[in-house]
Amino acid sequence: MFQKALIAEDHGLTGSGLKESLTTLSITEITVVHYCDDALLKIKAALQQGRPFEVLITDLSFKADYKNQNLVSGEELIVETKKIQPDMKIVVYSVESRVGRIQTLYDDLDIDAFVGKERRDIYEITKAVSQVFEGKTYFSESLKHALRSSENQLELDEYDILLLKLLTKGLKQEEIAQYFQERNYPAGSLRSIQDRLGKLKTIFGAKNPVHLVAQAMERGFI
Amino acid sequence: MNKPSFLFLFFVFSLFESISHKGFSQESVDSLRYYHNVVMKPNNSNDLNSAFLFFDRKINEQLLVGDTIGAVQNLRRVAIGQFELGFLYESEYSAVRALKMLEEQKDNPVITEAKSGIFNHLGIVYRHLKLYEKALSYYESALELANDSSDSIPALNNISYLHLDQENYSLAFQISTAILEKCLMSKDSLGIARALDNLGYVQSKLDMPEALDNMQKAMNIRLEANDLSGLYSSNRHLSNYFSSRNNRQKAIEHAKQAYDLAKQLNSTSYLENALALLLDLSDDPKVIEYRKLSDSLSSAKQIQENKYAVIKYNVEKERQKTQMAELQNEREKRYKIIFLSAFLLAVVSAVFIVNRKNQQRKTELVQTAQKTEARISKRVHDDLANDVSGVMTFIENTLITSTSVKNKILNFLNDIYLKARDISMANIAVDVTDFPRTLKNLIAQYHPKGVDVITSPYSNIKWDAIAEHKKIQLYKCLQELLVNSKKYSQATMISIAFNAKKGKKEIVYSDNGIGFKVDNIVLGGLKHVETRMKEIDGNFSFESNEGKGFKASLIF
Repeated sequence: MFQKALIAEDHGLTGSGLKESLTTLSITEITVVHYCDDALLKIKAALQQGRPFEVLITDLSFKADYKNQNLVSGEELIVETKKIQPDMKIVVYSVESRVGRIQTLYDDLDIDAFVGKERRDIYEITKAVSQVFEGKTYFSESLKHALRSSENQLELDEYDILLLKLLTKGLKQEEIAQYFQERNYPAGSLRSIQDRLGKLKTIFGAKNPVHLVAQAMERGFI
Repeated sequence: MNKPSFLFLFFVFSLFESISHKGFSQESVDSLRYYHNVVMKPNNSNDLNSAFLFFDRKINEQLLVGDTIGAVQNLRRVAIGQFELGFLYESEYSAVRALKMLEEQKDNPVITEAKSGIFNHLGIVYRHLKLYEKALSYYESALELANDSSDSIPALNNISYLHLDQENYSLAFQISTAILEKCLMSKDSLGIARALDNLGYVQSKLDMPEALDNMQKAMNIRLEANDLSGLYSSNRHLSNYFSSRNNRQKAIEHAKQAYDLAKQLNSTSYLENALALLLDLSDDPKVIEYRKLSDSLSSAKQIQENKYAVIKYNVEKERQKTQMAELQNEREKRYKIIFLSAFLLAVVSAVFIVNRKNQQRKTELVQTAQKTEARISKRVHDDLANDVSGVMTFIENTLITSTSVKNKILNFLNDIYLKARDISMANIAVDVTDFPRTLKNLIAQYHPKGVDVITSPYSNIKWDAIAEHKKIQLYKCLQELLVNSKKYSQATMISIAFNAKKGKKEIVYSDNGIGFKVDNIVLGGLKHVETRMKEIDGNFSFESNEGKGFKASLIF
């Protein structure tokens, strides 16, 4: 297990609670700081002493108070940390629940784990840190679903819409294929048109082309 | 035309002078001078015709290159030529034309000189047409232009002649006296001679004793100066004087001298007048009869010509009037159009500005609301949710109490946490730089398990062209609809279509869930959607029936 962990969390109760949880993982040296600037200082100092921190557990939002801070957000702290210690493992512990933003943390800031502050997620912090220690990237269950969803959304393309429009004009599949071929549109073979039609029927839960057109019109697609 | 005015010649000479001053540096100096002389001293009508043609061409050329002054001077020559030929109306027309050209020019000495010359010319023309009122008004106009006393003399002389014509001898006398004073001051001997001669002539008409003395003084000065045309005039006046005093012998003597002078001067009009003078003095009754007849004939002819000219002139005037009226009409129409379009433009721009202002205010209001929302959201998120989470973590790890109580407390706290987060999420600041991606993330956020989400191409709407505050508003509306679907619909499919037609954009949202009765709206969220759409001048409508899904349309 990690020997040295740094917790950056401006909320006292959360910080101490996190420390408690990590202690159960038998991490020997856990430091809690309340400001991003302090966190960066500790990281630098540990590096100089030759005993660097191995994992940084940080919140994203830090409340501004009387102290003027250079770094005001977890994101900034992560960026600066990566600059001086690229191998630092990063675990984000935050109220954040927007899939897009969390996705960005993984993609752009190269974090190793994201744990929400919701009750069911709190339990997951130890799980996350353990997996990160094993060199894995951790996603919570709810996040996995959401991330999958953004891939599972089905955006019809312009040719789908065109095919639907041609159907409303009463064109047969062969005629649609011909229409596509004449204009050099991709996937213009009869076979491809049939496939596309089949896909659309499945998407709209339609039994036949007429039903499909009705559904697409009803839903404002054409 | 039996009283040729040497004042007219005076005017002619002054024009002559101005020409020699100007020098006419251009090409046809010789031909110009030649035709000038032709016009001033015409020998035959053929010469005059070609002179007119020459000047006509010249004037057109000058007007073409914008040499208005040059054109005016030539028009004056034409006017003089026409007058000499007895084409009084044509002469008037030319003079008026020249005057019109001058009116468009800025005043300077050359222009003033030309104007006063034309005024005098017109006065002379009207005098010959016996339109004395008109003649007087033009002479007075010329007088007004005079800078000093010597400038005013030609006009004054002309006025004096006018009075003589009308037999207003006392008025003529006053003016002649004034002229003499002016001439005496200027010490111009020829001028003094002319003034004395004229004064004497007037005095003779008034039977004043100084008459003969003045006229003889004038003749002596002229003799000394060898002023032939002046002497001609003196002799004419003296002949007249003696004739009216029944001294026929002396009258004939002077008339003969006048005839000789006219021959020397080689002036046909002088000759004609001198001969007329001699004939008038004849004692042959047949000659006298002839003179009377010829006079009445020529005056009858003049009247005839005048009548014809008046008609012709009136027609021309009418034509000009119509043209002017048309021009005026056209101008008024143009002004009307200009005024009207300016007015319309003002109204349109006022409406536009007010609209824009209103729109701006509205946008600002929406933006302010959005900022406030975002601020509250952040506080709820960062403070409240964090606090609750902190308490949860604390209880989880440290509070020693029975597990069941602990769980109950934790569940309560978690509810508070989730509510706080929902409030925050519903009002959160939205980054709309990549709107399709933002929307995709939004959908992912509320994507219930096992539900298909279908969208039409996001690019159906040109998101870059849509104002940020509108996109934020649309985001929040879709968020509300997605939350509704997730919470209540039990839908297995959600579709979002983006359409743009004729400037209007539309998002059609639908799910295939259980729906609800429209009159049983338990979902206050839809009210929020409506409010938000109205704030961006958009439109929100929805339809739903229990068991038949839900469909909403956001038009903006």
